[in-house]
Amino acid sequence: MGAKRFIYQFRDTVFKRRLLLLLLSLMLLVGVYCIPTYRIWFKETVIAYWGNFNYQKSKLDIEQRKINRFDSYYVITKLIAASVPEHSKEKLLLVPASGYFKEKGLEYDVPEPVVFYYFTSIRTVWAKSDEAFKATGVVLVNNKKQIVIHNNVPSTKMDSLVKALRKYSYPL
Amino acid sequence: MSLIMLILLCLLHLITGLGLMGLLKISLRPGMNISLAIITGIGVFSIVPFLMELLFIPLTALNTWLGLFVSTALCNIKYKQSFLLIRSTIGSLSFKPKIYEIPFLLLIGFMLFVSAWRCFYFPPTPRDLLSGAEAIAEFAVREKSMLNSVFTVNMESTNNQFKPPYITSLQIIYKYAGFEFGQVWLILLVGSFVLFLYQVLLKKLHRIIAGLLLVFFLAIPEMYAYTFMALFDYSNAVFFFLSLYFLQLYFEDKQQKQLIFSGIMMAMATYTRSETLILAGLILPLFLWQWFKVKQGWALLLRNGLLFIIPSMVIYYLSISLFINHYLPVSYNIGELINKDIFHIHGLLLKVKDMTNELVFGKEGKAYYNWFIYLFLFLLSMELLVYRKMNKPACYWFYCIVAVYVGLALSSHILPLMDITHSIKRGLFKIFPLMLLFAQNNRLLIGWSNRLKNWENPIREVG
Repeated sequence: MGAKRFIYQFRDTVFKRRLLLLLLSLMLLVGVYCIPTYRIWFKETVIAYWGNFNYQKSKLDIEQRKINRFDSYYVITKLIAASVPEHSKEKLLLVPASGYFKEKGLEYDVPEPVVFYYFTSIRTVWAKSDEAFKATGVVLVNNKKQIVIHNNVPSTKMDSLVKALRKYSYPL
Repeated sequence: MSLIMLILLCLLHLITGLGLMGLLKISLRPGMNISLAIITGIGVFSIVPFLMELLFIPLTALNTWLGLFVSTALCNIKYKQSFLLIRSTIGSLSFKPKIYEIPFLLLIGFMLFVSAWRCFYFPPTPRDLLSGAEAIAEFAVREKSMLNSVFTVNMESTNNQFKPPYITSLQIIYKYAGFEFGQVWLILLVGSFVLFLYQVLLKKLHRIIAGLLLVFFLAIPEMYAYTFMALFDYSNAVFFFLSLYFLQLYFEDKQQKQLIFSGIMMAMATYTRSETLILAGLILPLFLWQWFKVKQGWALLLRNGLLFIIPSMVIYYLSISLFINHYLPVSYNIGELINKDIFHIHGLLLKVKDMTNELVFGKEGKAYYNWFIYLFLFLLSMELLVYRKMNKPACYWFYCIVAVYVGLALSSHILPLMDITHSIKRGLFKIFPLMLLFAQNNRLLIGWSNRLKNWENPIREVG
């Protein structure tokens, strides 16, 4: 009888102490959350990401997910690719720097050639490269702020275009 | 469908990893075995498409899957041993969380879920991945070779195509498994690593302290970001930590299998980031330290040192010297990247100073790593001021932390392309699990843990 009572009392004590430890755990976590840097980080990342979950789980289309992630970086790149005629897709395309598009009133963060190729399978080159003179097409913006692809540009005109476009730098 | 494929791949990693562990007779606690096996399995699989490329085997879906099954079979060649390990691991697996650790487990689980979802949902994002491994992997799936049309594109803006093919290989496997964006292998790697770390911490610390430390570890902002953005550094930190963990076990138990496994893990770390070879070199003095203590003879010292470093050198040769110089269709002169003024020690000291000022005590430091480094410095100062002497494991982990810190500065000094604001910032991921293990061996925390354990269970006090 005594042994049984001891076991019950012991279990009771252990259980109560574990409940107190549970309280301690919760207090410690609240304590961590009260530290400003942790609170801000947690709100701006983990909680914010969780907030997007419901929307994201209903938008599982691959293209949609790419657009959600990359935004204009991806969308404009795909638009450019769609404007390149099928017979010119194998040719080298000169793409000016982001600064050029900004000057023309367009926000377009130009991907580096390998990323452009990854998105579109089209080979591009930046004006600062010596290879730029080999390009046969060029992406430009017209007066209506529309992106226009010029194909089969004569080499003399391409030379002057490359030189003119070199004033814009390509930050990574 | 995606979930089923992920579970299947997870099982394949598990069987492969347990097989390799069985071959080397590596066995830990059941939960640790499972997490370690998944990480090891990911490591083994990351080499398969690369080896196939070295052997000029086309990377078709069929060949890739065959390659994976062959590697699983080879790792389980001593199938009786593997079966025993699997049976003992699964047989003794139990999960009985204490009521007070549930808040920590829920929070950690929530953070991991959010990370896993982002990893699955979004396409690969880091510029280093898009302009390198991811582009190569995407076109490898289309053209059945890692040496594909990506190399015909103008690549003056990047050198990411010259990184070791660790991520490329995993991306190829996961793309063939039906994951458009690949990269979900990172979910398995991160989840297994966190599980492994938690169990390591529980060896010496009370569950509340272990849980709290792990929350601090997961809440390192920069590191958390790379739990869902695939890049080399998180994997590098995982394999590097495992190597040092098994090296410590070797120094304690003197079982050669642990040294061999440590060497393999360091090779994996070198495969993920080739500069790790420099850090592996800085770990070698630990063998000398052991030798002074035990006085085993030069031959043994040399043999142990070679067992540790040779696998890393082999993988470095295969993935960098051989693959880049003799397989890639474009040339890359690594010699040109090396600092011409390498013996200018002042430059190295400046790197250490810049690292400390910018990444540890600078404004950005807290944004990158929150208070984690300060937590370590607090525990270190307690150890030095209150106890005035570190215990052996704490000493070991402290040496490793210093070696990584100095080693990163040295890497940046030797290869100036490794800048502080990008490469070193992420390279420091390697130091945080080591700091956790330092905390695990910190006398202050061990003392608190023992008091909590005794108070929780009064029988212990009597016993």
